[in-house]
Amino acid sequence: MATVLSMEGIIKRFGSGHTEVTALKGIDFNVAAGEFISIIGPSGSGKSTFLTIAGGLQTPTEGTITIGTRPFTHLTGKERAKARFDEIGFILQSANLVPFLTVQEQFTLVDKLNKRHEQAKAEELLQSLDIFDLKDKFPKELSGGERQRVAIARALFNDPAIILADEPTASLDSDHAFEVVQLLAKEAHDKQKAIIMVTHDPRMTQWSDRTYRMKDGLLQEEA
Amino acid sequence: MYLAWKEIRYAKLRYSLIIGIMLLVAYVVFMLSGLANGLSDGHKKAVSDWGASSIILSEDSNKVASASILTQGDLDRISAKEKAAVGLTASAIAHAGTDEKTNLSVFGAEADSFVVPKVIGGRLYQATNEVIVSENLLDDDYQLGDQITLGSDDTTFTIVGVTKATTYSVVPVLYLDLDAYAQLKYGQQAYTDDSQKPITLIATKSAASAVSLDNKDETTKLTTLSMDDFIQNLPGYAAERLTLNAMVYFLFIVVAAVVGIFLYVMTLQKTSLFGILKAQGVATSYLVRSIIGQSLIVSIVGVALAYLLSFLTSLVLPAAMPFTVDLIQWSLYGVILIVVSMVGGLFSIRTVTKVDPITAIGGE
Repeated sequence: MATVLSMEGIIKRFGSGHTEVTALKGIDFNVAAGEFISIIGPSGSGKSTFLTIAGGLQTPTEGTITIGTRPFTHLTGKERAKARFDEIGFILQSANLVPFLTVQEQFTLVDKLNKRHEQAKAEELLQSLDIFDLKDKFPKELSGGERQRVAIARALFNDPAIILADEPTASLDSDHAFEVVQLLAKEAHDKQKAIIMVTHDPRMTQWSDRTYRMKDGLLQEEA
Repeated sequence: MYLAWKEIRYAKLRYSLIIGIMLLVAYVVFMLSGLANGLSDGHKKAVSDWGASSIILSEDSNKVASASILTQGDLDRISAKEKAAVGLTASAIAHAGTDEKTNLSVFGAEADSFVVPKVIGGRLYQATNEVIVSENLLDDDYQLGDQITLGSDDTTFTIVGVTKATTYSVVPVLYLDLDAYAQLKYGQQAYTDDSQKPITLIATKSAASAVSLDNKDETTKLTTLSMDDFIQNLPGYAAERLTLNAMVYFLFIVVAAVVGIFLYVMTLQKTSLFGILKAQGVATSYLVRSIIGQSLIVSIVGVALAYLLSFLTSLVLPAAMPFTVDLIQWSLYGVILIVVSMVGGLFSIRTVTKVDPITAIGGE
């Protein structure tokens, strides 16, 4: 399978001198299309830093990142924003939908930014995630689980190679949390997406193809 | 613009509030400018409608018409394109035999001179006991054909003509013959000839710089003022305009501050959303355009409503309130208000550009 994201020798330091903190201490990591990967670890273990670097929101102190065949490390801020928009879908803890847009309009906004008209594709996504009936509702009218489904649809809409999910189940009860994680696993396999999910909840890893534990700035694959 | 519109539609109350404030401020701006124009018209309209380019007064008058005394003979000391001798005095009109008086400005001039306005009813005066009055005097129960007296003078005049409504010194206007003016202001006197008869000023159609005066060997020195200069020196005129216009200019600053602060607070509330949108790769320039777009929409809607409201208000204002609608000036002020509120929106841009998309991730 084709590797879509590769990270080599990633080191990230914050501050300098006495206050220097090394959040990531040398990470080598690859994801291929169609893989669903979980990263677990306690707060402060560096998993959020890992995700921001994988998503191109900040640059590592050392090491290289390649998305597809494109080296990501040396892009300018503007190019990285464009690359994020095209290649990466984000699913965040909560509130990652625009509060004043209806479900359908979340997709229209992306269309406007892309200068494309793909409402049919949006509707198809909503159908497949079983939330088509909610398309005229505002985010505040949805339950937490429904919101995360919309967020998943929104992340898939741009057809990104990679989806990064930051604690997507944090605001959900267990039943809905399991449902959302299963859905992510299904989308990864069906649509051949590389999905990386960061979570602190070990129960969520059972559907992953691989699970890593982030500990003191290093990634260890779980057996 | 998509985001800008959708947010306004979603947060109707919030945006109605800013549009409401914008509307009120723009309304005050338009009303103040209407009042400023109305008041300045009240002071000067009869004179500015003469179509004269320059005014000649006695130098001692210090540019104030009511302090200037000339004689008809002074006309010969002036070389200019068209000259008109004008007498001017403040007086009060009353129906003959009654005591109820109304203030007005009395102009004396030859009936055929260019300063006398066209009559819209009746005819011009032909004798010294005939006068024409401006239409706004008719509101005080005067009519064509009425017998009237002026001030303390015993002469009974007849209103033989009516001109369009106009004012000078914020009161209606009456025109009469120069001889009648001399008698009204200075009483019955014996003049050796016409050139001795008193007048107040001379209006010409030549530019002030093109007027040449003969000031040698004369007891009364003459001075030439441009029409603008003359109007600026009308008592109270400049001070009133300056005050009202200063209020209007101050309101421009108020608009920038109000719209700026409103949008800034709303932007602060949305920083986490901006973080998320940026993380998803939405360009900062799109978010900035969206904020500028919102201030544009808010100000255009507010100004347009105020424009309409001010115009409707002007239709129902009492006649006693001097108010002149100048749509071109209102449009200019409207454009300034829109530009100024966009400047207010610029305050928020720094906040948007400063939002770091990293804040979107790992908020546990």
